[in-house]
Amino acid sequence: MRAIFKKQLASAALPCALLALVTLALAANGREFAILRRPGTDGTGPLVAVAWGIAGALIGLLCALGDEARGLREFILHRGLPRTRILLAQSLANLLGLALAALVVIAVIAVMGLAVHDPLAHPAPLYARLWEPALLSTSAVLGHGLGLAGGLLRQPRWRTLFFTFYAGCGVLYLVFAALRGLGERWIPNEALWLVLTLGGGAALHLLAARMLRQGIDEERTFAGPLRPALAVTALVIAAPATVLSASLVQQLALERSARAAPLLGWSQASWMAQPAETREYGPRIDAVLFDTVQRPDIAARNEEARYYTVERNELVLELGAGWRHFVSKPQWLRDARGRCFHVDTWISARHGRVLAQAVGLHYGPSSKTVVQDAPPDFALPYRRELARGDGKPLSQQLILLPPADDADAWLLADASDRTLWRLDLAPALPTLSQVGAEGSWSGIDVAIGRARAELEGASSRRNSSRVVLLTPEGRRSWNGSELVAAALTADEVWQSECASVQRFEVDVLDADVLEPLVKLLDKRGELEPLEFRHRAPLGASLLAHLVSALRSPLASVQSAFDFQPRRPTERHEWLDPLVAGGRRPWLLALNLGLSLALALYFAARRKNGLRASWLVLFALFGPLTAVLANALEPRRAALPQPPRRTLRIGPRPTRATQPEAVVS
Amino acid sequence: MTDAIVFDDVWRAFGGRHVLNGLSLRVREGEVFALLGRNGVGKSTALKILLGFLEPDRGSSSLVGVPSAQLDGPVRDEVGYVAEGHPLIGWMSVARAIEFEAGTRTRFDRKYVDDALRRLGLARDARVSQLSRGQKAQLSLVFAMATDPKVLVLDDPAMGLDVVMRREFLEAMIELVSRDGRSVLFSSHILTDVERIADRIGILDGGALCVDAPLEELRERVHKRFVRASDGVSFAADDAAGVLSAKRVREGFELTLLDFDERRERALRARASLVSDPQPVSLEELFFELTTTAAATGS
Repeated sequence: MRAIFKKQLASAALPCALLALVTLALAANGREFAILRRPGTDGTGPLVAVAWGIAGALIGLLCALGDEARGLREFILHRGLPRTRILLAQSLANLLGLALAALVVIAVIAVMGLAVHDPLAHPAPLYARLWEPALLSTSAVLGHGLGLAGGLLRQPRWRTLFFTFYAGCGVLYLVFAALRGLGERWIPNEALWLVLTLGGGAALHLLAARMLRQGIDEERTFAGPLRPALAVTALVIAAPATVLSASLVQQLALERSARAAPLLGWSQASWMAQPAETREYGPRIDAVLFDTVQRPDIAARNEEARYYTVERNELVLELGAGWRHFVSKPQWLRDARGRCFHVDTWISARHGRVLAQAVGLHYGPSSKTVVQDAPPDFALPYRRELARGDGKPLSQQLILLPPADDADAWLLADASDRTLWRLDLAPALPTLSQVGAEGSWSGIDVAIGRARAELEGASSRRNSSRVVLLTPEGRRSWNGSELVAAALTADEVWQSECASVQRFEVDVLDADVLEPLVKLLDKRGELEPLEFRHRAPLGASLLAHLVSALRSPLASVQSAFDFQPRRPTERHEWLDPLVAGGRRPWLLALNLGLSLALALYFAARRKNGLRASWLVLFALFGPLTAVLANALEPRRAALPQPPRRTLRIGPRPTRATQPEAVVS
Repeated sequence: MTDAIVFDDVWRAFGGRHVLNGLSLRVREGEVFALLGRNGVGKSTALKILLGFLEPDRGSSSLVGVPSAQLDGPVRDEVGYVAEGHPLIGWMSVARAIEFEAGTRTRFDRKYVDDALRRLGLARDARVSQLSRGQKAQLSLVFAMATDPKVLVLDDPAMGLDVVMRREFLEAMIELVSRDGRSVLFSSHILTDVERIADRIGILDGGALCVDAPLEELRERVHKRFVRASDGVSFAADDAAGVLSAKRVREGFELTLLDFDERRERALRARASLVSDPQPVSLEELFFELTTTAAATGS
């Protein structure tokens, strides 16, 4: 086993060295991956996760196919070791190679960090973050298992590559869907990553071992007890990829159709439909009342909360695990030794935490520069957590009230307990202090232009930057130092009250993603109501319908009972928006019929080797799965038996049984 | 005597093509069996099925009493195998290849390998990829023999070797297989080689054996005769009549005859005006006659 291990390690050395070199080149020079250049925002971790996953898959494939390509497969397998031990030794060698490559990358990054490290330009936690690429490099285990299993399918090469790519998409989708579904807290994410990569990788390696132990016959891979294991694996891995493929193509078609739709609005005392091709050239239309691309926003006009109208300005933060940078402040500071620094301080937030970070560069300021004296204990760089004074964490939803003019104090309104916090950027070290007790505000309102409110009502998406708090004392705005009574100018109206001044109403009669039907109403009665149905371009419409017919029958049936309006530009991964809410029953019937027909067709071929599990797959995930089945399943043709050959010269016959000689 | 190798009604198709159609053969202990056949007739397929690298559609095979499908782990060291083309890991040196072999075998006779390398003049520090084809073939055979296997399976071992190399290889092989009780199954195209070392031959044609007999016995039983046929009489291959093939030549026919006794001779003389004396048939001629569809008709 050691000999196999050493041989495989030597084979994996070159690809692993290349991997390390490419990663280092990207890490050192790539704009997005420069761990040394953009602390806190670098993409080295994701780069390592993706690169090691792909490298693992390629090395696994090479391991499975390389010996075969060099005609060494049988030479390697025909020896006194069980096949599974041979595979184990090869896998351990490959994974060790990948781990060493990761260690080299991390070590070089650390050394480079030491070499170029300028404590004034880079934050100290650089080395503390090096565990992250190490952790993320475990994607190699998952990738290697996938490549190995794909390579051992022993199908023709294109099928192997197709399956590996297809299943790779499925695995990535499953991993990220799981991470997304779990939430964004620290421990579960990292733990789940390890479980998914190491656990999933181990399962795939076991599957590969099983496949190898069973045989390496290219036309007989899925026999015997491997069948259920493979069916489950195919179901788990390939199904999401199948669903994704369909949804992606359909989304492209729907987006194309939506972008071809005209903007509906009002202009110069009449209704107007501005052609799609001119929408980029600037508004010829006075007010856009309906935009197919943005339709769900309009459909949601009756919602009480108005947060969506200010989200565009990023004043309402819905926080998760990722850091969101929301304010920064450049300033000049002079330290105790008289050195001047240009310091960039930025504030970021994620769920429960607000962080102040600063880096600085040593410059000689010009004579006009205003330089503040830094506090005696001030040292660059720094990273400092800003905690609430009452010991509670900040909640997931924070509302930011910017200061008037250039004041340096922002107001943070915590939506969970309705407290108010002052974020002071003026001193060298930012501070967070409480300015409003629990329950000191009840909501927010936005001042918008009256003309806009007349046209668009509460759904106005412009002129909505002036946010005020609703307090027991009335509407209050933040002037940078205190809350003061908020007042409207003559041409403004509060968004919460603009329903009374709204002139136009948009009624979406049919919220179809492809061909919506809209009715525009003038409350003043000056214009006749306008009913408009968008006709999708033929190509986009055909493509959307075709893909719909290929989607998962299970999802299509579920979609028929889904009445929630959806945006055409939104990805509909599982549900089919074309048949949502009972629309196009013929399309649903076509989808079901097609799946049934394919299932019956493949059922008829079962005697030729197709597994029953594929039939379940068709029913659950649709006709596209047939592509996968075709790629994976060998065709065991039921060949007509040729006439049996007879032995013309066998053992010497005895005299008693020798036939009479007849010469014709 | 027990059978070291057994094929029992083995069928195998690839895609839409049948390759083996009920192959049955047995190789006894101590027997050297040559599996012959034209290109693509299924010799390598049969050997891969025997070694458990391919699965038969129907039928079964076994090696040293172990079914091919269960051939895994230490039992493989009882079977020496040289695959077609003599595959070896090219980037290794001969010494490292020996270490690799020793490390992956349950038993490995280093002394035997050292002696063989000395005898064959193979340098230990030479890179395997730099060895000649003949040297690779010899090294493969040495490795296959180093576990002291009960059975040796060789897939076209002389393929690609020139006459001199082939001769050297064959001599090495003859010496190696001369150990007691060792069975050998090998496929080959080189019939002169087969005649030198095989005890028994099998000719694979149409997916099954058309010949399965000891070589010496074959020489005794098969003869060639020239006949001048009477007017209107034709000759064609007829196994029941002992005519393996009939070929039209100048003024008569050349017949390849099997087990031709007095009774059959009388019948033949009744149909032909002249019958020559029996001529011996070389293996190459026999192979040609049996694997091509020859028939002839008199005028």
